[in-house]
Amino acid sequence: MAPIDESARKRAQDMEKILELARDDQQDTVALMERLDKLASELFEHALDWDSVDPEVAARVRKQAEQVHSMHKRVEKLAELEIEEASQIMSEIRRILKEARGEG
Amino acid sequence: MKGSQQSSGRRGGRWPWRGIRWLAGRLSRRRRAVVANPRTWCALVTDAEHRAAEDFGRAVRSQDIATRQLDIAIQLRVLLREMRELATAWAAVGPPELATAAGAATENLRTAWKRIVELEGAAVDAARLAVADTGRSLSPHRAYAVRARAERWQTLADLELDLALRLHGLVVEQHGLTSQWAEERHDVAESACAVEASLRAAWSQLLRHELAVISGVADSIRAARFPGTDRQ
Repeated sequence: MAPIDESARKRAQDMEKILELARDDQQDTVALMERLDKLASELFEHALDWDSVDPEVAARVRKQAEQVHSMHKRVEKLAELEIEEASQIMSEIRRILKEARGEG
Repeated sequence: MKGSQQSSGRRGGRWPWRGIRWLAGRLSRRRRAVVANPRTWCALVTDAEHRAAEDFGRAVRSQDIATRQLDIAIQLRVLLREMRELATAWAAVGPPELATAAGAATENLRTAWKRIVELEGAAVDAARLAVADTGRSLSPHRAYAVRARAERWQTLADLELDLALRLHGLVVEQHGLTSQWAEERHDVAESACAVEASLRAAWSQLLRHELAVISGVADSIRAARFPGTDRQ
């Protein structure tokens, strides 16, 4: 194996840390998705409660639940962005390491 | 046979009456427990509706905040990605000070993004809490519906109790007739005895049903979360 370029290795190590942070971010996003899921299901059940009391409010609650669903979809998009970002960081690390070994 | 009829007649003349009185007592106690002043109930339900509407308004506001924060979080994430790409490019080719500055800017963006996501989570939690409060506020409505159901059960129980009393009177009468036939004609006494047995069976079936109805009333009361206790 060819001797590795020290500065490139340092860069690759730094990027590895960034990758870890990106993984943390993804966990936060997943937690947010779970919270939104819970809110949506609570709103769904709550709409059933309102049905017998005030159908108009029940309709409003259902609209809120739909909005939460659309928020959930957007957070999913955010998670996709993060996954893409993490995969780019990974390929960048691989590229730097290859370059450092003179394989690129 | 006569002896056994007398023995069963004694049973029919003693414990069943006690049973009916017990049933009647249970019923009136349940009635006292369930039937409250309707005006008070209406006032509580109206108050609960106001409270529920306020709680729901709080949930909507929190959700609006969460939506706006999500917009910011997404924009920040896109910016963060671009800044990271820039930092990587500078780290590969540019002067080290530029790479360091780009790295610091990336870190700042990430901190801002993380904070926004935290706030977003808090706003979603606040909305969930408000929704839960709304559900609790609505509980008098549920209690009101359960109370109405309990009242319907009670009406049914009243009717059945009346029927049980009449049926029991008929059983006693029939038993007297069976005893009279037993002294004169054995074959007629046997069919009279059969009639008495079927009357008795119907009566005890009615009693069992009555008990089930009373249990239904009791279950309804337990199922209701009465106002004043639901927020404890």
